[in-house]
Amino acid sequence: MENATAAQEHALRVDTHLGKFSQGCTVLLTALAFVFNQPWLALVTAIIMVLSALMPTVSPYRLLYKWVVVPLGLLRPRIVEDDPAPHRFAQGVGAAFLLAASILLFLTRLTTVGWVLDLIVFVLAGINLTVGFCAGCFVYYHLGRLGLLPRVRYEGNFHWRGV
Amino acid sequence: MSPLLVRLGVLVLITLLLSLLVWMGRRFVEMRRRQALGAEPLVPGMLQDAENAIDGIVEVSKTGTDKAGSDTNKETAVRILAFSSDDCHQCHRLQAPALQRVREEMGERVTVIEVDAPASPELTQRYHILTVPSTVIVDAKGHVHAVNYGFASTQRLLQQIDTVLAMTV
Repeated sequence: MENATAAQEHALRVDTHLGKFSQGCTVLLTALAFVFNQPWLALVTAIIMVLSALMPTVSPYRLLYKWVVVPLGLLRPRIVEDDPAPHRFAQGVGAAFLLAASILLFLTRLTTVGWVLDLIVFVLAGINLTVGFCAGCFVYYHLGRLGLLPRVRYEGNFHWRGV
Repeated sequence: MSPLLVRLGVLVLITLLLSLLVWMGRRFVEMRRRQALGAEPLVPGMLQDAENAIDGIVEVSKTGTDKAGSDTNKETAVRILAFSSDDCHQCHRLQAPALQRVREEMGERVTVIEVDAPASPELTQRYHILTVPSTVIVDAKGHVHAVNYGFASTQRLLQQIDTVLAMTV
């Protein structure tokens, strides 16, 4: 019985509603950036996703969810077993795409490529939101297979395992 | 036509195409799941035969020592076939601990049969396994009751087991 309790305590957990809220916000921001031709909105989304990946505790998505969405009763936390590391990796990938898009949109004439990158993030976040398929997580697991994965483990911050 | 409308049109088109792909994907997975649910019952001894034929099957009971087809397993009300592979990160990091918790919760009523998917083509075809981890819930008579493609949480597995147990009582 003690083992069962200990196992439960050590189970990796994720708030899926926070994840869905983050994906919904990303879909909305990337769509608005594209429709209204506002590259700064893509850059803002990129910065938010960088923060979400590197410092989840100060992620604007999380703060908005924790201090506005949950208190207003719009969503309630739904904690399930899952590994947070692949999701953070996925946010990092999204951030990289949007940073690249921002660079192209602000500093070059390759605006079409920039908007394509923005729309890729829109599509992948939309798939995750609607179907639950996390493309970034898929990449994470395949990089792990190839031994190329930066082995991260969520303990409130980045933690390099085995070093 | 204004650039705003063009961009809006592009976004709507992308969304429609995406919805179509999602719909087709869901239909495909549901079709495979239905086929798996309709698989021939897993008769006693089949796993033992399969174990002799396929090196990839290892059955782990609560004690982690029993093998497929042993006397203990004949009394098991529910079997979980857990498909995984050596290089499946999610299988080892998430699914294996979840199955361990199920075993601790349900005791001898549940037996987990770990199947190395790449080494067991017969079973992966039989249950139309699309990915690892996948879990198949089988009752005492060998009938399939649920198929989970991808990670299945402890709670989900316990609910499926409860359903099987309620039907057999």
